[in-house]
Amino acid sequence: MRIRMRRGRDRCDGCEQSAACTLDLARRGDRLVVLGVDDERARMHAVRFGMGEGACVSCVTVLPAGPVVLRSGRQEIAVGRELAKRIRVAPAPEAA
Amino acid sequence: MATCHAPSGTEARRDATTLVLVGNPNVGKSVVFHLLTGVYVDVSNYPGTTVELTRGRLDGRDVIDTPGVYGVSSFNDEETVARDVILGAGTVVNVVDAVHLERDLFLTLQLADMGLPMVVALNMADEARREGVAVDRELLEEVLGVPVVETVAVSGAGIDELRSALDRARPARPDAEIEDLVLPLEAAIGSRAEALLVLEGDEAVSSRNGVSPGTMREELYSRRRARVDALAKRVVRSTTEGAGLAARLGYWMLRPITGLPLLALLLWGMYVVLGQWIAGGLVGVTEGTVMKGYWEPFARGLVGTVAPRGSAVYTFLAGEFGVLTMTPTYLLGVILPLVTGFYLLLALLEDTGYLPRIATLADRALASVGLNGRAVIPLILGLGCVTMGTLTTRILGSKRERFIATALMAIAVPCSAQIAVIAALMTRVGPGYAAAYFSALLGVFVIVGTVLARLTPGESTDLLIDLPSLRVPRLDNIARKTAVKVKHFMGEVAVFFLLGAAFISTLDVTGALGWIQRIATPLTVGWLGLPPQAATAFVMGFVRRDFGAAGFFSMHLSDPQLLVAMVTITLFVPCIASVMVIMKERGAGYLAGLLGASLGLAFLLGGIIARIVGVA
Repeated sequence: MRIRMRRGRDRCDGCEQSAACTLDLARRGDRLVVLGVDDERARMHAVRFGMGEGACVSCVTVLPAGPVVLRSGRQEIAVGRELAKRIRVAPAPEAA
Repeated sequence: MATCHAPSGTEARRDATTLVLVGNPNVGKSVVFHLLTGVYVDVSNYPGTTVELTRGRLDGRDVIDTPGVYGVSSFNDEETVARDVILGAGTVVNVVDAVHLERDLFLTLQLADMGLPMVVALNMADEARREGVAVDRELLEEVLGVPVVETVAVSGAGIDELRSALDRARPARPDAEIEDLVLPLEAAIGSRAEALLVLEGDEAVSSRNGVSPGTMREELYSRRRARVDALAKRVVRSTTEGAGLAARLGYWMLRPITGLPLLALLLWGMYVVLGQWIAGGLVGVTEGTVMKGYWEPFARGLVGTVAPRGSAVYTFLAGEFGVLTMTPTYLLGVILPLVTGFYLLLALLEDTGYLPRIATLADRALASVGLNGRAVIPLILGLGCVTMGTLTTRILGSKRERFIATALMAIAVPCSAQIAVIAALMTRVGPGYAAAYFSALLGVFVIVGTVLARLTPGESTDLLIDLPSLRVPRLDNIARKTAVKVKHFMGEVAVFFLLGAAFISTLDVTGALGWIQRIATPLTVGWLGLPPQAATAFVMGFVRRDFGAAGFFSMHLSDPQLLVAMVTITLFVPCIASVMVIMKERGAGYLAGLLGASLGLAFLLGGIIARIVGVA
């Protein structure tokens, strides 16, 4: 599934072309690859949770203006909106 | 005050006989601990922190249960404590959740790299099977090179096998490719475990060994993550993706449209249990009948035989605020049932896995007051008892957040005992006044939070929280957890309460209480439009918040006066036990500022409302 563009946001123009964008723009059901976490502390936690760089995750739900909930295997993680803006993701290949 | 660094002098030295339980949060570690050690356990704070450690004995060995952590390092207090206890371990029992091996094996492989003799308890094996997860125990044992024992901690299955496997504990197979890095450092500082943590950039461990911290944390973590993923792929076979009722319920709890009504239902339930059943019903028996009916007359009689009524000694020991009368009455008659009820509900919330979902749901709202969703945990606790809530602010990620959360709780969150009394008073006034009361409080919460979020220096951390699977909690585990926490809490507040009672008694004996009433007249009568006796209620409110509210019960106030009194007493300074705990956790300067702010706000808003409703 593709990341759709949010209206009123111009940061993620490239998403439709499967280029990178940030996690806060994800929608429920999106399957994503984590490209990087631009926050040192969160990066370490993300690796521990199996959601670090290169991990394939799916978006369980996005709370309105709130956290993004991700799932990787049986592991679910809630990521605050501000942190989600610093997590770079790209749509996962369809086969993944 | 909670610190981020291990205090000096707690340097970890390994003790061959010490058995340490290590695992991620919510993996059933404490149940395994209790099954191994039996009922005689000791809960204490780790020196210099507010992190609790549970100790017990097994066949002559010390057994220590560490706080749940996702890895060994020093990202927060819990991790620092766990790290130092692990570094002092003779043998490690690593409890892993069979359902979440991809997550838990990260810690396991780190322990393997640390070279500590260990045994793995593959816990929740039954739940894993139910959820369609099959773990190849033998293969895991072979790859790790240490005993792996399947356990179902809640039913006790596998515990005997775990106990007998302890003799076969040995260091697990480490990552062969990092040996070139670890071995020279190990030779230099004499501990493989510490050498690994130095390589991973742990500053405290590096400085205590007199070496500079390594810069390879990211590489080492990424390598370990890749090994965990590969290992999990080999040993875990999963048939379903967990789409059962628990998964659906978990999802509903997160979606605002279903989550908010569920949360409202929960809060209502908590209010019914704590406010109506316990504060309104049970406390009437424990406080009124047992303590005031039997204990206090007995204590007064006893003191009366050694000191005449009216003497300072009598007042001090058995007077209105006596150390032998009011103190045990409030501690045992009021606080004990309330705190027990609260910890019981909290243990239920914890063990079902609901709490992190509430944190997620509340994250957006709390971000506007400079907090993240995790702050709901101390705030909910604060609704039970501000003292408890303040102690729990240690789970927040930064000093700034602890600062804001403590202030919000002390100022604008009424405790359950107070809510109960206020609810009783509110039944006399119309729903309009009750609505005005709650709106005023909510308004103060938002305004104080917004102002503090702007003024408090530092940065707030972002929410990054693990959402554990929803489970039906085990009642025996809930009961044990509650008992341990209540005992610990009561032990901690008893001293503060004795001091508080002694302080108020001193005011009483010296005549300062009457003097306060007189000099407060311009404030109570002139500014708030209340009778002069209101000053006593405020002084009493300083001892206990509900006590203060109850002081207004017999004053025959008009409806508008009642609103003024209730808003003012709620915003008024926190009770003496909270004051003591805030002092201990945040320091004297903070406390002084907080008391000034709550007094100022309480009387300012009280006076404004008094003018709006026309009583002053």
